[in-house]
Amino acid sequence: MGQHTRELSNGTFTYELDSPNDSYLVHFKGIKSWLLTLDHKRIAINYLVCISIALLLGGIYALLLRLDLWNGGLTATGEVDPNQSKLLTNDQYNHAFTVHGAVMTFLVLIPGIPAILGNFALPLMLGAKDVAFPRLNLLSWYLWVSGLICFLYTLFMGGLDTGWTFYTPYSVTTNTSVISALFGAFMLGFSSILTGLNFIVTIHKMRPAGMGWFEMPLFLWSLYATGIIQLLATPVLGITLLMLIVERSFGLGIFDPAYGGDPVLFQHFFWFYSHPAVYVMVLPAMGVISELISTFSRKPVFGYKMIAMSSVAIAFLGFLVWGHHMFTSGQSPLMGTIFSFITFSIAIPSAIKVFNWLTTMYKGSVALNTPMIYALSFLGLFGIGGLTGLFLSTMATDIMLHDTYFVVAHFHYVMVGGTIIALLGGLHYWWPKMFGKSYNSLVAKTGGILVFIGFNVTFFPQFVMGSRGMPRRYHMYLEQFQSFHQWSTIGAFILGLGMFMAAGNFIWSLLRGPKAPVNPWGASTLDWKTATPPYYHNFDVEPEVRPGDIYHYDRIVPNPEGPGFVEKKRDAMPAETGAKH
Amino acid sequence: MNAFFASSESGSGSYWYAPPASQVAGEVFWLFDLIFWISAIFFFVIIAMGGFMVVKYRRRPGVDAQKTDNHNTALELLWSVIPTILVVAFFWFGFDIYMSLKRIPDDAYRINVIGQKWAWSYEYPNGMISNMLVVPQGRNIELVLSSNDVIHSYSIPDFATKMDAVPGRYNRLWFHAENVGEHQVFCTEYCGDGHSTMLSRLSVRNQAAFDDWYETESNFMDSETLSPVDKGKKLYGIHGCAACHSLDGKDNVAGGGPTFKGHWGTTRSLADGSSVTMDDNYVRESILRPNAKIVAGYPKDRMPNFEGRLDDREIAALIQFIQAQTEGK
Repeated sequence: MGQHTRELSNGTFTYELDSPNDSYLVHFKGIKSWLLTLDHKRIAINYLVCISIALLLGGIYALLLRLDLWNGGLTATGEVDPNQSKLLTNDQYNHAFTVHGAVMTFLVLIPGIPAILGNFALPLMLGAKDVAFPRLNLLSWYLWVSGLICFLYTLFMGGLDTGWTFYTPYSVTTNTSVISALFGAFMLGFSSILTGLNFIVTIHKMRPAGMGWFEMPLFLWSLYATGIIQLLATPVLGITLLMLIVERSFGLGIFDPAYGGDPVLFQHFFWFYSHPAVYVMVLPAMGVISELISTFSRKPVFGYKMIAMSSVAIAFLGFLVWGHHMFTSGQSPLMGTIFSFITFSIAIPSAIKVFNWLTTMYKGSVALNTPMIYALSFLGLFGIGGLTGLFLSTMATDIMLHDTYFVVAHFHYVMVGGTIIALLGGLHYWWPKMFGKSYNSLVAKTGGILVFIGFNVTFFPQFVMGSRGMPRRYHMYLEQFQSFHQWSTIGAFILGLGMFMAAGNFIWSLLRGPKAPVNPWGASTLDWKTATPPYYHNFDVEPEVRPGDIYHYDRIVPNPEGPGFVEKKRDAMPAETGAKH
Repeated sequence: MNAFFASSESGSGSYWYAPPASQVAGEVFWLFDLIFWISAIFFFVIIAMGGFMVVKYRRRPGVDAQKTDNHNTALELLWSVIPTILVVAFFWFGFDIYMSLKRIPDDAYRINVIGQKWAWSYEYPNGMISNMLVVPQGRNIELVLSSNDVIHSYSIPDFATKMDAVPGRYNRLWFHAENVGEHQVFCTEYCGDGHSTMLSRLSVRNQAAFDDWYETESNFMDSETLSPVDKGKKLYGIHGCAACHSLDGKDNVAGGGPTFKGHWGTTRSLADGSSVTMDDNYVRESILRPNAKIVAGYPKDRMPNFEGRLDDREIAALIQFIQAQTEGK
């Protein structure tokens, strides 16, 4: 209990809090209060715990694959070389890469940033009490958990060896547990749809007075664009997976040529969702990077409108390019040509974003805190990921590189170098706000640098072996590729070490970490104006925001009495309005 | 691990690819290089800009960020228009070279390529089937790809080309190899257990050597110098038996096939609980109708059905070959 006062420009308010330290972490107690919570912040923590477990599972499988690939098992001409021992059998390897891909894609990358960082920060950034539909939000999490259970069931009941892409007719004929995995992906799709719907409605209806569309933090723009894709594309995945379940159960003949179906039709349906899904993974990552670069440069985001609009442009164009996964499937050259052309158009908004981020730092005050280290490695890695995409949207070079390790390296640069790096950067950024505890910044930076180095050592050699012809999803490989694979394996363990350092540091901070200041980084968005950790109802008084507040750092100055930053009062003069973006 | 730092084989190859073995491959690799160098320049610009900003404008005590424009139309147009011009150029070259990969010359020599788990076989115009692709140099070769089971993909890195073999449809690819040589073929569409060993060799020979090979291979069943066991051995290679049935005495239970060594004449227990002696009648039945009597522990529906694909003389040769593996004749 306690009297609190707060001065706002239109007067001084006095109010009561339930307890002096009424944070969302302790306001309700007991395991049930977490499992049935409607609080967006607690749901974010639930996702954080669960997605971390999934990430660990997928990561262990990745290391297992890399260990197995230390030896190729074949001579230079393709004979089995008895001197090279393999850890796994062909069949075990096929199961392992499928589990790695499916877990990472459906359980980690697609929900990752929206479900953890979006759930936590979106209502706070809007100065709102919660998302528009808190119960739906909880349901999303339960759907995610049921998806996880379906995947675990699959793992223990025969496994899955189709690859995460479920290509027909292989997925119709294999005797592994395909239906339970499809059902899991179906549930996860619904979880994603509901999260997207929730975010779109929240952004439309719950922006505070004084925050127009173009005064929103860019993370919200990216979540909005992501929500559109989740809403419009994911149902197609759901229908496709159901059709595949029906095909397997009743031999209906939709995709299996043995019954008159068309296996390429499945690829069209699958990529109609799964290509836009790439943007579900990477757009929120771009949003996080916009926040980080602005905060740690103390500069407004350069070309704000272009960045906001390029997110929407990418979301829209992302629907029209799925056929670039199928240049070798036998689709007509005309279709290939159209898909190639539209694919290139996505390169332009992406290039705009990268250059705008770089220019944001111009004449700024650039601090190399841990989140900024991740943001800078994002720029480098996503740069490589994006540029190597040019080779794959060019039809002639795609024919050369399709289904080789070049593609594997490319999408890991985008998915890990983009999404996972941004997730880690965002987590290091919001962590003090989430838990009210600081982590050790030296350990965090070392972890971040190890992740960067390990990642490059793992995946750069894969570009070279891919352009030299090494096909993907190969358990045995020819001797001439061995040196690349061995570098890749070494890199994977460095990457793993970096990730464990980051995780260990987070756990340490929960147990021993010093108390975090309210605004440790000097950020300008509303999520930093609540207590640390936030009150269970977010804000004691609805925070005041005026046009020109977001991304303007004049009034946010280093705390003279301790760590972090504090906000100066507004000048007596009417605040400058309509600041240029 | 030194290959990582050394360029690939000599010739006109580079660090990134082997020497092109067909004319179109040369064009594809040229385009690869073009995109590579322009990307490298862009990457350098990104790193240089980032590095400059971070060092020059690093946070210093008492120095705050300066006010600058938050937006500059000319600059933003610049980095929209330059990438646009470049990607349109990439698109155009990519399209142009792609069309040369797609446009099959009318005079091409046609070979049917059949993918099945986990071997490629080649059917020549006279019906001869080979497990190795041998083509004459200096001619346009058209491959008509199909699959007997799941999707496979036929990839020849030296020719910078690949195409999926999809069950229920025919896909085509072509190439023109100017020089004699041997090239590696991979399956690049995941197809299950033996995906990574679904390799094949492509041999480009001069016309005389090709004709020789073609003649011998087409008529080996009539050969008077080859014994039936030798003929059986060739059939064993041609029809992809080796993918599942080893000759070294090791059963490949997960892969679906018992070894051919050591089981002849023994009693085999079957999946349905009965048993059978492995003799010529059992082997003949298993070749023609593989699912009729499956040995306990092995999966059903793994082996393709050879009814109508092998004649009596060929089956007899195969039986003698299989028998010889155990009895050492």
